[in-house]
Amino acid sequence: MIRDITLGQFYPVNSVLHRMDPRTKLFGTMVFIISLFLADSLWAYALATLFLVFCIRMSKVPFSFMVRGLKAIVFLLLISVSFNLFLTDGEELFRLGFLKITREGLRMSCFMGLRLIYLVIGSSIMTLTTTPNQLTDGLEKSLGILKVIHVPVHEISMMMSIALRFIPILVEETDKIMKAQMARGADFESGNLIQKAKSMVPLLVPLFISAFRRATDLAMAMEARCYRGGEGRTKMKPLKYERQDRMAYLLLVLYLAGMIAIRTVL
Amino acid sequence: MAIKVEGLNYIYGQGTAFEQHALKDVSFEIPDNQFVGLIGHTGSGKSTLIQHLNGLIRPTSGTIWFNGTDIYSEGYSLKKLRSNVGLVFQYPEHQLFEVDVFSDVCYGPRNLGLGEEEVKERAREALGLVGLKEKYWEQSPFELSGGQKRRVAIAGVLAMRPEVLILDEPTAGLDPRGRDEILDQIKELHDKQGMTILLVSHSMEDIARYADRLMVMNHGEKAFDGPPREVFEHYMELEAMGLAAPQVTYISHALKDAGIPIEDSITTVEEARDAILGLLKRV
Amino acid sequence: MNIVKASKLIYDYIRRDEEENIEEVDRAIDSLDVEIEKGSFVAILGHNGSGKSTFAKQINGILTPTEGTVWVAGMDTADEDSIWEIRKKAGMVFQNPDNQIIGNVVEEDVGFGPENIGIPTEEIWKRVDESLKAVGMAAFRHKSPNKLSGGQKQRVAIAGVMAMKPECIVLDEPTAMLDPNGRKEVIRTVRELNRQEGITVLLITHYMEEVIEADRVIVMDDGKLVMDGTPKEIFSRVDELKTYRLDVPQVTELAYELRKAGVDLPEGILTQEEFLDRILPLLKERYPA
Repeated sequence: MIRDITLGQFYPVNSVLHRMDPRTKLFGTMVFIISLFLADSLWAYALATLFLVFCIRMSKVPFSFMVRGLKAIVFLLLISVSFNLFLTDGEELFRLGFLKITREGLRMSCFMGLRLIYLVIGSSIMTLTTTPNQLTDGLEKSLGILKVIHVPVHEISMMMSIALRFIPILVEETDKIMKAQMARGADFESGNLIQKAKSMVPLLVPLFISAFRRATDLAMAMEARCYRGGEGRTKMKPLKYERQDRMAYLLLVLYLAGMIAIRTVL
Repeated sequence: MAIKVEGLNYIYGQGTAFEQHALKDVSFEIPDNQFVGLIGHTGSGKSTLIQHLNGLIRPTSGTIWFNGTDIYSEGYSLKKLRSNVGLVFQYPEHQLFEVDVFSDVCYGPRNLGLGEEEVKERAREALGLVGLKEKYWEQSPFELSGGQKRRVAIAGVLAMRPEVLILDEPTAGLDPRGRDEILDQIKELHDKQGMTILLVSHSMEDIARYADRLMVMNHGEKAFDGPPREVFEHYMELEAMGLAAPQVTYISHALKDAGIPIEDSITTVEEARDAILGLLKRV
Repeated sequence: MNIVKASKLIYDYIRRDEEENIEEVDRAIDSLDVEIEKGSFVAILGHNGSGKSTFAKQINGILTPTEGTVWVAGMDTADEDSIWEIRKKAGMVFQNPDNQIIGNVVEEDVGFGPENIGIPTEEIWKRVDESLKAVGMAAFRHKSPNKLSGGQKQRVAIAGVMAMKPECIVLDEPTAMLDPNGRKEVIRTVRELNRQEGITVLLITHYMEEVIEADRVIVMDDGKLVMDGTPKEIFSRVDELKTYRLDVPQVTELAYELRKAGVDLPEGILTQEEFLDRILPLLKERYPA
């Protein structure tokens, strides 16, 4: 049941963004994040908004899914907005008791808020349109040049992929172990910090042992299917750039150029 | 009355896309010292049900009584309930964690806040009940065989001195002799220690041999409830639920259909043999 | 023509302490001689600790003999250079369904093996399609393994092995962690593969009901081969099986008990149908319709 929670929340639908090479999307996410930190004027945020809306439309993912990620940062958003709203010096606009709101404060809080919201939505677009496997494949391919300096890119990518596969399984196992120990009178809730830490031992030891056992089994199974590292491996789903990727790169470069221009000019 | 359950409902993930009605209006009473078998297809709600009985899962609606008291009544200690209603999960050896066998078995009674002497006494008693020789007690639980580890895990629950013992597929993964040994030990706990037993199993033959009463779960509902021989009479309906009656039950029904006056409700090999021999010896 | 051959095979599990001194030696396989014929469906029965799983791991070189030799398709498993060829020829399915699935999506897991041996992309897809179809899991190809039942996961594992086009599949207690329906699913799949594709199947198990349709049943006990014959031959020796900590299906036991009491029934009855065919005439004599 716990396994139903999908990691990264991939939303399966056939859109341009879904079909795009994950490397393109990784680059795009990076560009977008950089652009958000370059933005410091209304025009910049307007361009960023345009770009974001365009991407959202292109992803064909319902908007309700996009905003799900925002739930996690509601608190952070509130704090950041209020801090900027009430603690920035400048030309006073209103006063609520001892709290004053300045023009600069209003501007800063809006920009901070937008930045946070756009960051979350932007990354969500990435995870909603890319499967965990595509992500690791994309990372493996893009970081390929690091192989020259002996970085084990393939191995890292394989580890990430396997970790993604087993996280739901280990989460479920944690729940099972917790319940089994609670059935023996364990109490994970009460007590001070030290007591709580001690009570975790009967949870963590079996979990670690189980994880090691799985790892050993998995290694055996991988070897039985002739796995011996990245050498000589072919790919079932090789990454290939298509027309939409080339268009996307062009658009991204233009967008970034635009944001830099706005910053320097305005 | 050891356990009484009325109108139990449990709904997973209410309001989300994953909403599932895991238990639908389940009611039953288990008297002291009964040996109950609980069967059902995978996903029928068996595991969910047993986790309600010791307060690990809280029902969406319905009431659960232990020895006459509502377990969710004001001030009722669920921790104490868990010492009275012992629950052994499937593959219980996965919960072992201590440096040595003896310490692991002490974990349960220690959690109950008992004195060291009492804790050790109970651990010794429990290990004796599962038949694990003393020479293993100082060893790391991870050095034991699968069957031995399982016995240590069961001892860990027995050390709480529960009145009711619930076991979820205690024979899973064991070889035939290992299965018999565990089941015989459970039967002994029922007969000699007077425990109330609730055994979740996939093996009809095992249930037929050991249980006084059989409850069948189907898609979250209780479909049948009665002595095994009665329940297996519904073998065709059981089959539709993805369950099977013991082989000898099918055989006796096939013989009956062919016009042989064999008696009803045969569920064990011994009964079948006696019945057939009886029929053949008639001159 | 044999695909697997073991000669005077001995295997010891050696436990060493911190200084690499030998602490304990456990002889898991004690001088085993056996030959498995190509295309046959062989079941290896034994209680936990009889050495059957240890033997299974010898076949694809996960373990190599302490003494003696194991040949797979004529290659010596102790020869490091042959090990990958051997693993291509002899695939293995393990007991824990989750711990052998690597892919996040069913079809990707099935493609894992071919990827490892450098099969070109187009050919990988062909093999994945064929293998999924052969095990009846084609409809689930885009699903996450987490959404599958135990039996379905094992079928995916079998497909993953099939995609490497082996000559022989070794299944090490593939049904031990499954419910009865899952068990039936897996055994049916394996039987079909043996019949349709001619793959040699080596099924390691302790469930007697699963071996009824095997060509040959080998029983191991204490590291030795103690019984070897057709299912009928083996099943008729009920008392002997019990000394090896094994059990027979109810119908076999019933027939055996009746035979002991003097009823005229043949030995080694395996199925309900067989039993009914034999017992009905006897009963009909007394109770003519």
